[in-house]
Amino acid sequence: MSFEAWLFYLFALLLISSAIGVVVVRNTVYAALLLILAFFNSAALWLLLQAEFLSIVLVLVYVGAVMVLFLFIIMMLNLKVEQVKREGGKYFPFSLVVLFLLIVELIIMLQSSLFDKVITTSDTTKNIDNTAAIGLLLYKEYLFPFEVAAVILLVAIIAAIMLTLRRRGDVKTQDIEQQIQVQSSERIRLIKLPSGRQGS
Amino acid sequence: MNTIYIIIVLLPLIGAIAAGFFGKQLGRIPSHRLTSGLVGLSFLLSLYVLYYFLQFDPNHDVNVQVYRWATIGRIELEVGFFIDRLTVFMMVIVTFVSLMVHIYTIGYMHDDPGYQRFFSYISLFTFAMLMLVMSNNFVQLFFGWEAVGLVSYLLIGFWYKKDTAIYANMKAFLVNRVGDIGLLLGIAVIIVNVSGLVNLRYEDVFERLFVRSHSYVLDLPVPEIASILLLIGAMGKSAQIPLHVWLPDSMEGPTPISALIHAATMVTAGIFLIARMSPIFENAEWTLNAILVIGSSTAFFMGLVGMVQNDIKRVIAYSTLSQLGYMMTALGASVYSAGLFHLMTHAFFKALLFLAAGSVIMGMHHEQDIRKMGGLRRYMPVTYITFLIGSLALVGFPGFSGFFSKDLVIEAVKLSDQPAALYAYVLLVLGVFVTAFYTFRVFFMVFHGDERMDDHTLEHLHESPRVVLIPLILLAIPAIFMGLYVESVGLGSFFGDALIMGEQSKLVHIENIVRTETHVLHRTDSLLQEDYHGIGNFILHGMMSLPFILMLAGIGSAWYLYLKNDNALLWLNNKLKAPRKILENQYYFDKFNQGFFAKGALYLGNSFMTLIERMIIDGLLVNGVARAVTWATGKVRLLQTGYLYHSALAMIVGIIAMVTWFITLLW
Amino acid sequence: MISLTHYLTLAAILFAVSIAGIVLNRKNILLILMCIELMLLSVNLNFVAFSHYLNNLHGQIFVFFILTVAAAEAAIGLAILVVFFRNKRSIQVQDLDEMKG
Repeated sequence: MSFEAWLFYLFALLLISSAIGVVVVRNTVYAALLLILAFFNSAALWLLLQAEFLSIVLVLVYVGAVMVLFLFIIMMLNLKVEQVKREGGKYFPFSLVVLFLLIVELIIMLQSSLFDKVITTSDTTKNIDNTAAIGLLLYKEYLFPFEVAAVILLVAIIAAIMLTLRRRGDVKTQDIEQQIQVQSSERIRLIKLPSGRQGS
Repeated sequence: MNTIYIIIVLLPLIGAIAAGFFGKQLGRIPSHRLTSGLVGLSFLLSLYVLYYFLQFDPNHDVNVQVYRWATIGRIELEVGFFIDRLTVFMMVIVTFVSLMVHIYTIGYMHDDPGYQRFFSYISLFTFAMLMLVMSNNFVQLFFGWEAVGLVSYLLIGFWYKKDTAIYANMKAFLVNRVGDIGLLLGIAVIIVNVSGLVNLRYEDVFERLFVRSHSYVLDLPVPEIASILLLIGAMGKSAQIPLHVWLPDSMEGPTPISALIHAATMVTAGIFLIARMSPIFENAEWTLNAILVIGSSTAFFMGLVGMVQNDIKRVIAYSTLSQLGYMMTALGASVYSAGLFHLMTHAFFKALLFLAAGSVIMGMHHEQDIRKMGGLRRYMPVTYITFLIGSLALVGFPGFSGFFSKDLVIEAVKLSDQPAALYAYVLLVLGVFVTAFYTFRVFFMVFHGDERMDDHTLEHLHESPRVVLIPLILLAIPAIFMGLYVESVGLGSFFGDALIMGEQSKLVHIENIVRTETHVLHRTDSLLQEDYHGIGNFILHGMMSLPFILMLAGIGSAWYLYLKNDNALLWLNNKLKAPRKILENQYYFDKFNQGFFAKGALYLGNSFMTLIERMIIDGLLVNGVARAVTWATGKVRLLQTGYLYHSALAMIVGIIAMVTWFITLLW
Repeated sequence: MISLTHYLTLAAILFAVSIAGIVLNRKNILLILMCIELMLLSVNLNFVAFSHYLNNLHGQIFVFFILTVAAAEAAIGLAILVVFFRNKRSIQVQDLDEMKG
């Protein structure tokens, strides 16, 4: 067994065990942390597959952003362990059945000759590294989908903000918009007062 | 020259449009001046065309192709005019009577609020009738046919606030539809049986129809089928039994249109149609016999009904039915010229009678019941004389136009070799007595005897204005003298090739091919020509014949019963209660139609509405589908718990099923 | 030598585990979201593996887009969760039955 194979089995084992951990632990915070571990292992596997750019992105985006977001939410909602108690006992056998059914089926499927043909080594010498290759592809062939993805992210940002935005009536806040739009004529109200009678 | 024909047709249309759409802006007097003037111009041009045609031999015809407006498959629809002697003949009659009615209307409708509308309608009618008679193809014929039907509908219901008028115009329209379906189907049969490109022009169709007349529709030869269907059309428009029911009711309309449409011109469209289609009818033995039976039955039995009517216009209406029956019978005997001759004389004297009756009605302050009239001759001398002329012409008094035409018809039927000819002959001869009786019954009751009207009417009784009397006088002239054309018009030399007249026809060689098998050549007309020895002889012969005696008997009995001896009338009424009742109910045709067709249609419609529409379509299909959807969704919505984990479970089951399906595919 | 099948099997196991996780944690919406992230991860793993063994970079582009969409999805999903919690004072799935037919 080569070193690469050792690494693969190591990371695969860690990946699966952390995934199982995500599923079974009671504490949501632990689950999120185990998920981060799964992402790290996955990134390592991708490195083995020579997809350096994506493995870095996975760590940055998922671990750095999405999972932190998850943790934020968990803490913000301040969920207690009791609150999310699970009646795992009742559903545990069923989930095991689903688990094995799927695994067996998928593995049976993988045994088909369909996947034998495509096993070719990819030791072709590359002139450019993975990041540069993806960049070229992304900015040339996939330029439009790339822009669309950017728009999707923008929409997601706006949607998330709009969803969680709330105006509280009982709090006095500055209305910047109104402040900007105000005009001098509106600020001062000139009132003509009847002057006192002169000479009387 | 060709543009003249188009101008003749279009002038009345222009008048109709101007008076109809711009009547308010034009005002009353300019409206009647414009429409009458244009129709008058049309009449003068028609006269010129007649003069022009008389210069040629009788076979001269003109075909004016205006344009083709549609091509549907192999059928070409065109607008065009076919002018031959028959067309010219009809054109002159139509425009002349129409002109007279226009002038008469100025006086008759003087105070009516719908003055311009009325002029618009009668001008439109003139246009439609001209389109009908001048058409050179079946489609345009149908257009004119429908258009005159429409105008007739509009005019019967002219006083649209009167319930009876609305009822009558609806009735006329519906009964005419029955006939129109016949005509439409007849045209369809003709189209189907003419191979190749059909432009539906008469000559074209006739020639090619006979080439193929060996073919059969429903085991019957094509001319037989086509002619029967065309006959149904003609029966509707010309009000023959049993489609006559609309004509007496149409008297609800103003009197001028009773004269123009329901006596002189439109109802003769059926006669014209059969004359125009004579090549087809001549090849249909059965149809000719049917015409004989229907025509003579109408002539006799409708005359009988006229004997008991008390409304002056209704009596004349039944007389019209009866006279139309005479024309039909002449056509059935294959003497088209006699039928058309009677058409012409009838147009003049019947228009005269109607207009004179209108004059009487005006004098009587719109009282139409003859029992409330009497002794009018002292108050309305011109009307009296013209009505007398019309009556004498109608009963066929020797020397008057009706005498020649009616005698010719009877003589023609006598000479006919058709199986039904004897039946027709007997009825026609008896019809002469009937005609004389009811005509002079009205005449005596209206103009002679005691004044039976109330005092108020009597005080205001006076002769009608001059604008009413002029048409009467102008119509009285042809009513007297038109009979002199008995030789040229009545015996057919005037028409030349326009009608199938024995061996004169250019179509005969084609027909002979057909006729060698079953048909016989109808030679009635040539027999008739052999019998004719000058006009003086004709009159002498007529004065010695049975019809003349019967006519005198009819006048005499009317005089005896209604002027001389009232007790005899009462005695007769008592004796003949049952037949009188039948006649007063017009043989129960109306009741039958009302009970069977109207009620039956209503019942059928109602049962369709409740059973098919409400139960099956509404209940089962429309609401049923909606209810089924509601029910099904009511059940299905229970699956939708709204819980996330149920959706997730469904997805998981789906995934497992999909993967299983993949495995079965791969292995 | 590690072949494509190894990776595919690994991804399959990962996917099955996350599916089982949804069944197991059917009441906890946060964990369901996490399991969805895991599923996406397994799919991404497949993409990358295929990309490597077929020597075709397009698979990695897809992974890139999936990551983008997954990030957007996580953001919006969590925002909805926050709003839901604010309204109901609970993130129990059984309280989430507004869509009941």
